[in-house]
Amino acid sequence: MRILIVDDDATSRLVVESAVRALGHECFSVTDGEQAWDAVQSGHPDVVLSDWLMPGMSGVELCQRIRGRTSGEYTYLIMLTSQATVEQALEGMRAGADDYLLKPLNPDDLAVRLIAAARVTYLHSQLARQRTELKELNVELVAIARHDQLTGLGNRLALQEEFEKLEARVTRYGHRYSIALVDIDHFKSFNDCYGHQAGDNALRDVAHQLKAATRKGDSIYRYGGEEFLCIFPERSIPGGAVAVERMRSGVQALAISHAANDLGVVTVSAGLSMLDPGATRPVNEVLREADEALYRAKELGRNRVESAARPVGLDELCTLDEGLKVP
Amino acid sequence: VTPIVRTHVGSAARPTEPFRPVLDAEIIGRLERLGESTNQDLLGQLIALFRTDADTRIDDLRRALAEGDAGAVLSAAHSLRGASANLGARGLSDLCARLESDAALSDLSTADLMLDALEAELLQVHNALQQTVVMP
Repeated sequence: MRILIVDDDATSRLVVESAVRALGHECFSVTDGEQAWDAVQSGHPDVVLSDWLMPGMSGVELCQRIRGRTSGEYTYLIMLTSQATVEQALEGMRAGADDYLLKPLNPDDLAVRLIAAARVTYLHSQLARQRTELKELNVELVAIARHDQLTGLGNRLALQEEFEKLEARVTRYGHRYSIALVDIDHFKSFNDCYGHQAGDNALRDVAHQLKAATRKGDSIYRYGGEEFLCIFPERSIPGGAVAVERMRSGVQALAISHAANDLGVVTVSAGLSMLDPGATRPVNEVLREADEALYRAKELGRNRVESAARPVGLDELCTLDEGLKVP
Repeated sequence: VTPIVRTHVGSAARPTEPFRPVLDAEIIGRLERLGESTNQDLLGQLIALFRTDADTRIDDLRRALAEGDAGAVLSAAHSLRGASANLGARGLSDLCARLESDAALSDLSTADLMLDALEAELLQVHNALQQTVVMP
């Protein structure tokens, strides 16, 4: 182990240094509390063997400073005191020392205490390592839990957290977002016809194409089986519609064979709505509007983008409502 | 163990009593063994260190007493106590401990007398250490 010796008396230092080296440990010495504190921070000793009474800083203060550190490394602290002042040992242990030794030092006692010190510092280092590993694993798990493995996009959980932030930004800062639901046309037939492996490949290719069509700052999530959700910050519905239209044509241009679809290739339909400060509607409401628009796009022949156009004329709304009531 | 250092008899013994050994044979023996195991003349080095250090501490104590500085008395007595205890000079170490505890209470009323006793004991320690080195 690496051991720091703190004593202002040269003979004490020499005795302790010799005893520590005789036990095969590495050591370095300082003569007062301030130097000890610097040495603990820069020299990273495993064990500090410190005289209780030092110039400049009390043993209690050194104990407290060492224990108050947040660096994570554990420093085993042994106080040296004489038989006449053994009550200092109690004070030291209360202040955070791990053990004490009597002066004049008996090398056999030191050997015993350093065995305990080695054991405890080993356990502490293991704990610290495991804590670091857990922390890293946790970060990894947080990422995994929010990712869709197939497409590499964010999943529902990630989206849910994003929505909470969006709602706050809309309320607090007056930001607005257009939101699109994008759905692959006749995907069930695609799977039935080409198999699930081909279905997965198509999902992945479409996801990549959608992602490629977004701009920096836009985000896209896998919302359901063959459904994706895009968020376009600071874009009105017409602006969002331009972006989604680019996505739609991009997917069509991939030319993934889909015999059961009208054009013979994979296409998507999309419904667009908007989360904005003027309307003060909850996210759920906006999603319902986007879903209705998507439904309309499907009804109107698929491979197209429809918007929850607002303000909507009353007649139009009635017609729409009628249309939706059809089972 | 060298014959001049006899086994210490009871810690209640006064340092001035003639049967009281000046140095603790067990501690001297311990230091010799430690020196051997680390291939150095540890005892010789300690004695050399102590010779200069102790006299400096006595000077410090004299000065601190003259200035009535209890804190400085405490610090010097503490250092000398540690150094003498390391060499097994129990009588000297006990005297230092008494001076140290009085100084801790800012009581310097008998400090002059104690310092005289301390110097007398130190002289004995120096002689005993000299003999320890001379003895094979």
